[in-house]
This record gives sequence, structure tokens and C-alpha cells, in this order.
Amino acid sequence: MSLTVGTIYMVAVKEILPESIKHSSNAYSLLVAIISFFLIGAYLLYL
Amino acid sequence: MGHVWFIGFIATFFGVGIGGVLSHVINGFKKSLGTVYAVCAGLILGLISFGIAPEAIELGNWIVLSSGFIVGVFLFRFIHAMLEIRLHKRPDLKSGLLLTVIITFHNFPIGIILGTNVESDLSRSLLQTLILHNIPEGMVLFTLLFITGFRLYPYFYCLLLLRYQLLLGQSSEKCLARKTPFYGHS
Repeated sequence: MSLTVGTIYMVAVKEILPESIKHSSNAYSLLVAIISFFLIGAYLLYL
Repeated sequence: MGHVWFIGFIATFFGVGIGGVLSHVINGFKKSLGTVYAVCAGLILGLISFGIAPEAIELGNWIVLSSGFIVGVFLFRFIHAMLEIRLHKRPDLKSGLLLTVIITFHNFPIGIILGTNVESDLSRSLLQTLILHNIPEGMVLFTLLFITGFRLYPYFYCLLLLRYQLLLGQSSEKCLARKTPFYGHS
């Protein structure tokens, strides 16, 4: 399971986030990513 | 054994399916590719931070998590290099495929947990938990797959891959239980 943490983290940071920044601005991508980060956090913690 | 396979199938089918429908609805409202990618990255990082990492620490410890993380980074580099050769003309498809392969690895220990607990009274609550657990995974997977323009085929393809590792985990647990008679009672 810790193996998954490493690989998924790399997919998100090296593949998906740079694609997002390429299609829009740094600040906008970061803001949207942070909002969705906390939304999924709320879902996983409270549901 | 048939019972546990059925629970696993239902959990994966509905969990990932609901996630796929949700991501389809969200993508319908937000057509911007940058937004979809940013949402996906946030969802993945949230899934790791609030879901998978605490679970991994609970099953092992910080040292296991750190060493697993490092091995995972090298595994990513290896799979990435392999896909680079095969899919150099489709970089968008590469991310989706990479993520599907990695989530199948994640389903292996879940299969073991399911196999261990299915004979107890927990099976119904376990099913609900597994469905809820699979929804964000489905959202993450389908957000990327919708970007590539795929629709129905990848859904069944992903389900097959996800199911394969879940079954493998359940079978491993059964083998382990057979070899160590007091395994289930400890």
C-alpha cells in the first residue's frame, strides 16, 4: 500500500499537475487543486 | 469463496461506476482542460493524504511507508519509461493507463482485507465501505479517461484490471489461511 502512495504521488505531481499548469495559470491550477484536495479530504474523513 | 468474489465485484462495479458518473457530470459543467486536470491532481493528492497513507501507516509504520514510497517512485519511473516507448504518440492516454495500473496494485491489499473479514458479520458494512472507497478512485480514473475521449470500453477494461488484483488479494489470503491454521484467530 505504501508502494501505491509513492507511485500515485508521482503520477499526480509529475504527470497531471504540469498538464494543468500547461493549460492554465499556476495560481489557478494550484487553487483548484487545493479546493478539490480539501473536498475529497472532507468526504473521506466525514463520510 | 464465491460470496467474497461477489462482494468484491459489486463494490468495484458500483464504486468505480458511481465515481465515473460523477466525473462525467462534473466534466459536463467544466469544459476547461486545465480545470479538469487540476481537480484530478487535487483529488489524487487528497486520496493519498487522507485515505491511503494513514491506512498504510496503520498497517505498518513510518519506516515501511517511507521505504514503500521510495520503491513506488522507482516503480513509477520504470512504468513511465515503458509507456514512453509504447505510447509516445498519445501522452494523454499515458497518464490514465499509468494510474489504472497503479490503482490495481492498491487493490491487492484490499482483497486481502476483504478475504479476511468476509466470514465475519462485517461483510455488509465492508461492502458499503468498499463502494464509498471506490467512488473517488472512479472519479480520478474517469476524469483522465474522459479527457482522452474514451467512453464505454475503458470502463470495462478498468473494471477487469481492478477486479483482477482484488481477486488475487483474496486468493492470496485464502492460501495464507490454509498454510497457517491460527491465522484467522490472531
